[in-house]
Amino acid sequence: MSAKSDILKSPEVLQCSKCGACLPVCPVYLEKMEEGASPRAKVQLSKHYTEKSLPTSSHLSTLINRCLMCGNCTAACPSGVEHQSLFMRMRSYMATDHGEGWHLKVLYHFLSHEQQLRLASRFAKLGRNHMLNYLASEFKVGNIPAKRLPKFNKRPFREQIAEKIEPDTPSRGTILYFTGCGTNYIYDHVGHALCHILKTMGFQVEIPRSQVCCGLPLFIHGNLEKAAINIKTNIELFNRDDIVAVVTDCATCGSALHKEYAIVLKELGLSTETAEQLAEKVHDVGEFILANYDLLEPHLDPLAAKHKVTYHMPCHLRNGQDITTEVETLLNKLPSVDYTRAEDYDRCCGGGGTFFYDHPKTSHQIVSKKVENARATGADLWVTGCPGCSINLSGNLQEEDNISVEHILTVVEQSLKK
Amino acid sequence: MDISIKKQFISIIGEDRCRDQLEDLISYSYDAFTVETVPDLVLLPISTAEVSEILKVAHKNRIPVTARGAGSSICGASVPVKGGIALSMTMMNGILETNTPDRYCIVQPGIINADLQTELGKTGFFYPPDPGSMAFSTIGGNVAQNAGGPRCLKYGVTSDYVLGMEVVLANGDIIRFGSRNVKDVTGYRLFGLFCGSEGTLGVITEITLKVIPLPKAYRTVLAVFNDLDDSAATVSDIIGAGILPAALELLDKVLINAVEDSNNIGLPREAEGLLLIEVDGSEEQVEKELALIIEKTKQNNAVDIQEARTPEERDNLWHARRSLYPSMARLKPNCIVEDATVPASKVPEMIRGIRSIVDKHNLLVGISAHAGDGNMHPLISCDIRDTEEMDRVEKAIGEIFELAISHNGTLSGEHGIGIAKLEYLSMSIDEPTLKFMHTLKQAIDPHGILNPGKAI
Repeated sequence: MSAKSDILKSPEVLQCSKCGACLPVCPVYLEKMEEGASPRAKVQLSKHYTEKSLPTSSHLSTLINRCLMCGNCTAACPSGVEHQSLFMRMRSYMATDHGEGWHLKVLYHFLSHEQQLRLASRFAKLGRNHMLNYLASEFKVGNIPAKRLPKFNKRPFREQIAEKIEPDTPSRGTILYFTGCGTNYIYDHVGHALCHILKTMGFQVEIPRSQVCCGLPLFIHGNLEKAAINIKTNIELFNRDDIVAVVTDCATCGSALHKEYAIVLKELGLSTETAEQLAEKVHDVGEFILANYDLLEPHLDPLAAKHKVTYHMPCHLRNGQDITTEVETLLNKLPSVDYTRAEDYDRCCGGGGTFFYDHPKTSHQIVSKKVENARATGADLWVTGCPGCSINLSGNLQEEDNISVEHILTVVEQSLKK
Repeated sequence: MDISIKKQFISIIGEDRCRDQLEDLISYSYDAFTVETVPDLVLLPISTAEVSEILKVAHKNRIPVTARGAGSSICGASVPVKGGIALSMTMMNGILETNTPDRYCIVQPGIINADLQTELGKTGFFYPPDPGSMAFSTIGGNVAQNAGGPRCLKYGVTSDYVLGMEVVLANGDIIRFGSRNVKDVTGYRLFGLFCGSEGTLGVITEITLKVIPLPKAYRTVLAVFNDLDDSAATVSDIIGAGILPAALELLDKVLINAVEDSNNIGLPREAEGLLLIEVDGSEEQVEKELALIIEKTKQNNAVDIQEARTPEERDNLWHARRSLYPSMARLKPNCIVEDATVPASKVPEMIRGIRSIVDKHNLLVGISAHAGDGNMHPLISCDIRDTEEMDRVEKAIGEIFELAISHNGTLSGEHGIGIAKLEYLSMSIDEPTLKFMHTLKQAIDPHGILNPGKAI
């Protein structure tokens, strides 16, 4: 994509009425409390840039990229501005104008080459799992102390498990499981929990072997062409008519599959038909279990050990998939759960893909408030549904907190009859 | 701006909260109005002392200072039209004290209206003024513009709730007036002067507000009429029956259809007018008033009446009102909202008059009104890049103002003058009165550094 553009390519900038509704919903603005950090300013700066009344600059690039891409602004916008499309495009222009950080180049490379990603995860595993203790306690990755980073799976999840898992009872149909990189490389127990639960509920679970990264980390940074290759691969694998649903255990992947695939393809001038067909079939696993709760209920253990639970709602569930109350409703139904809502349960955690790495200070300020409010609930389990949020939330807890961050699936599994 | 002067500002506030790169200056060149001008410097103070020191330097060097909160003014009140300093008050956003037994709270100007409501709500109290922007606009901005809102019919506007203020004058002097007392006749009633002064008389750095207990119950009614006069008769019958609703919102046919196009909530498209009526108070009182309101709407030939008793039902009925702006804003790139105001009995004539004006100029306009207080809101969908269309918009707005004045109305009920209505000011205010205002301004801000290029 060329940095040379004109205003016709950014219709979003004309739609913004500059009303200010996006200010108090933007986690970055709320930390900075200055206009330059607001979605409105990003839109107005984009307008000046595309109208050529503002030359490109590294400061412009910083302002445009200082964004969690959480989608709160779009959800609050009365004028229907599609911030995400605009910001993706602007990030791509900024990358062309000023180049990309080395960490993004590495990220793009691996996420668009699944084979190499698998290999890299082994080295990363060696690095993380065998890091000398004193190094781990000194070294920080973004806002997260290295010792609080999760360990990598011994082997990628998809290599640990059969491609098809048969249900316990006569089959109610096939679920295609999009595992996401989080489960595949870091949180394998979440993947096993998903298979266990859905199989108990009577579904056949199929995990297409050749699925690749959803591509979201690529396209939110403006790398649309590379993302499109991943998108096409996944659409081909998952857009099947002989299935009940496609489920994800990652809010971010879910948002990509449900909403953003079509946006990216449209941005590139490609057909969105198959992406829209796939979007219809994609469900977040929490929402899917709630919708089919009658199949789960007979398998729940009313005497399951109780946990005090609180919840963090991933932005990509609410803004990417319109899932608002579903996970809390499910939590309240589970016998192992004693639920308390945290004051800011639906606020962004400040992780935002690579935001915690690129803007560690702001990210830390955002997550610190979440941590305080989670502590205030007295919970021992902090449930969420996104590996990115999990890494950021658990990374910012202290050893003495005794709060463990867990996927909703872990809690559902704890409630099953043994 | 001279570099040595800039250095003086930096020495007051520190580089951390001082911006002079073009990208940041552009970020403070606008509010929600169409006109944009780039300031020379952005300062983000965190204390009254800093504001005072900044103004001393600005005063001495004749540097324009335009204070702003969220920058959500729709009349351009916070656009720094003469350049100089954009003084952002967003970092002074604390609630300094809430004292519900004594019914007041003390806040800094940058606190967002809705955030204050949330905090007060925890103790069962609220601050009634509820401008459409309350989710994002600041109390400082609300006071500077003397903001209104639907609830103001029953509860009064911003200035009715200001008990005291701390203001930094153009020369840097810090003055405090009013007190924490609901009753206070000591000295001139200066908050009446500073409320609605749009930043031209001083920079507000602290505000003491009156708060009142939240009503225990609400009832909401949506009534549809085939004749505008029937809806107006309903409004006067309700008020005539001794009921003062917390909201009385009127939507015309174009808006009903725009809302229906974008939301599909089942409003009758052929209807001429829709009234959203809300009463609040004790359970017993609202139940009685609800019965009476339904009776009055039926007597006045309402063709459809829906009522809400639960928060969910209430939320559904308000959905139509809340989606007005989005529905109109999505039709074209821009949406201009005017707020000429007339005595409540003139509302039907105003709606028909505005309709005939905008039809004559071939404009896409929906009309709503806070019908109980005659505050008209024509929502004009337009494209500011289309100069020919904007000429017609300008003409229509001028004619709407003339019409309002001819009905003993006023230019602005709650949005303010800013730059949007500057050229029409003399329609509403006569020469000796304008001169008196100039005299005041001259005495308080002799060099004219505070929000220059605006009303006074």
